[in-house]
Amino acid sequence: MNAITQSIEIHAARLCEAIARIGYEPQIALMDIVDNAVTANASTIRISLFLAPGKTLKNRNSVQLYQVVDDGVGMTNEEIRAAFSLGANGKYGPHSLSKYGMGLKSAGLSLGNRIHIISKKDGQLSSRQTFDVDLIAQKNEFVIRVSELSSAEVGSYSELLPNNSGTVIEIDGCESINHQSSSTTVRKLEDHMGVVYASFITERPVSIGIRVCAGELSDFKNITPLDILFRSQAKAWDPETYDFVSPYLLLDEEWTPDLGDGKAIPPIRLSAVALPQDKLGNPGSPLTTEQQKIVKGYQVTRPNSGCFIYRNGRLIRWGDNLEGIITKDEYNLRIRMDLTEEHDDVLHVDVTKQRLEIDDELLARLKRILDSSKTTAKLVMKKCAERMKMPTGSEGAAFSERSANVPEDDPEEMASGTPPEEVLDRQRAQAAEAEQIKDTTFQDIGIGATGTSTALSDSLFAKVRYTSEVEYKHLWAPYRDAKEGVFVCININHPFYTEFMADLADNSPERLLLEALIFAAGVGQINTVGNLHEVELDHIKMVFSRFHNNCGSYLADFTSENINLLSE
Amino acid sequence: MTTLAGTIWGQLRTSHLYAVFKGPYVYFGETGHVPPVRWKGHLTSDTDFIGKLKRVDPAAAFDDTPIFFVGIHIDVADAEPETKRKIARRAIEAELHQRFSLDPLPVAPATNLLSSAPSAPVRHTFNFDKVYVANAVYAMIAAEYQQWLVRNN
Repeated sequence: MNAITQSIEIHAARLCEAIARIGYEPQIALMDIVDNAVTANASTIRISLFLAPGKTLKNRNSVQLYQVVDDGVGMTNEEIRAAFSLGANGKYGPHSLSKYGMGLKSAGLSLGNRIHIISKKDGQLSSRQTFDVDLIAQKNEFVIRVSELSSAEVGSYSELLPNNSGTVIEIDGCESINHQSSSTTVRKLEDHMGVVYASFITERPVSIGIRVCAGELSDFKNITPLDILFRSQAKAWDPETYDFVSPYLLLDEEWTPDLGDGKAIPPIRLSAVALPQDKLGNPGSPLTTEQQKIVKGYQVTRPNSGCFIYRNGRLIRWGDNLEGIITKDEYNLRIRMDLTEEHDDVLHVDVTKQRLEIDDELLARLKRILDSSKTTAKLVMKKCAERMKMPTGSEGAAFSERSANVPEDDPEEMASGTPPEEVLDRQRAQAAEAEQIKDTTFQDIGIGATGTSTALSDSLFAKVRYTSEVEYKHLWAPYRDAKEGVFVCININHPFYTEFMADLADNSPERLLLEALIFAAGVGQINTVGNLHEVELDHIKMVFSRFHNNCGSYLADFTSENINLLSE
Repeated sequence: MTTLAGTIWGQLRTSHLYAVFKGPYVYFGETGHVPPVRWKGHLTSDTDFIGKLKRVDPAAAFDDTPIFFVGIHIDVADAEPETKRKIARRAIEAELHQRFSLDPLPVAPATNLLSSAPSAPVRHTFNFDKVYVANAVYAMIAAEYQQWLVRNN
């Protein structure tokens, strides 16, 4: 029987859309681009998020431009074109972070519609080459735009690439893609990159910096490497000398997966550590202040538990529960699994290198290996629970932590484009007012800061501040910081605070819910004052002044009628 | 004409780890007696080696593949207070199962485990390093088994 071959159609724009939607969150996409810089032997990598006019860290879809600059080997014009081809560069060196040659395109297009590359190799600056989805849709074929740099651009890119080689990746056209707030992206990058690239940062070394620019250029914050298992501080497990502070090493072995077909693959390094319960790090726990800081620094939470799977030294899976082997009760257990590309087929590592699938036989074996560690981790939790007491801490810190990633958008404004000048003026005025009060209500609420590592979290912006700097009849006053968004000052001289709020433990659900209600009212006021430009500013201010007088007066009366309510 | 079928020696009430092999199957266990006291059960009971094999692979349970027993005396377990000896043996048995799960190649071709690992007694400490002892036991079991395979092939 004769057979013929026939061409099939490729719908270029639709294919672009498909590869942009394979499940990237912005921080994952940015790290995929950072992978290319690491593979290019960069020693310095700088990530910038440029906010759109009128947008803050708390707004969704607030990024106008993502930029990643590295000082790696760089690319010629031909090499940039090759990098833009789909399934690019199939031949990777041993222990490469790349796999399918799709990362730049799929990650980039998940962030915005245009990916620009300007690179420098052997001192020679390239053209700007742009992978533009709109252009591809217009031509219905895979094309890139090549533009010569203007003299001004040559100057600015030469400044960005001062060495003999390096690459600038820029992604714009982000407004049509629905993204989480940039504060969430930045927080996840700051929290995760030190863990993801720990071995590169410490061993090569690579310096990775990140910043968000709202109008003016800001300084980069350097990512600190972090071994999330804290193995260098870990002690050997001994139930009789458990100290409630140290990590305990429960497993440190090489696993040789038996494939049953006689084929040998390199062993997989497995480590497991049990950490103390997070609540022991709260003020008021039986530990000393120094010990509390150490415990808090581990950030023992469910998202930070489970198996951390590394491929060629780069984290590809954060806190995997290994198909249910690790349960929610074992959230103080962290496991590390070190793979190389030689394990890709056995463990079915996917295109985003974020997911893998372990077959049932290997999972059963893994479960047996981890059983003892799981049992010990549960015992550690039980011991910690017995040691716990009611915590008390610094006021407002718990709410600031919990609300750090809650969007503060005005629902009426979310679909609109760039705000009118009147709104920007009002927001500038709000920012100036906030600057004054910020200095007098400064609160350092470092959370997670430890003597061992600050990579997971340094300090949080105080979203709720307890102060006497509030009009005496009002319970609260809201402000809007230009970068961090809304914060609220609560009046410590108001009787409602003195009688009720002050008696509620700072991180109790009751206190958090009261703070959430007050904060929500603050967000409502700030957004209304800032955005409702159809109504004169003085009129809006008059309305809110009356509103606060009424609220403050009612709460004062309620308090006087219900003295000792909390002791009843 | 005649072939040595194996030897066993030791005091009656002493701590042992042991393994049972048949073709691709292996079973690890512990006992507070000289092992033959316990091994009888593995040939007769429905819940021990042959009983489990009947459920998993009935043909293998009745075929003429030879069965191999090996026992290792654990004197460090006998050195523990009497009330802790069983727990000590359990701790080593759990570790022994883990050694096998981490790397079954030393006892190849026996890659299918019939025994269940006991729950690790993590609340207890002993006067010995259970991982070190389990590694030594696993190495001895593997060496005896591989020598026997060579002698019989």
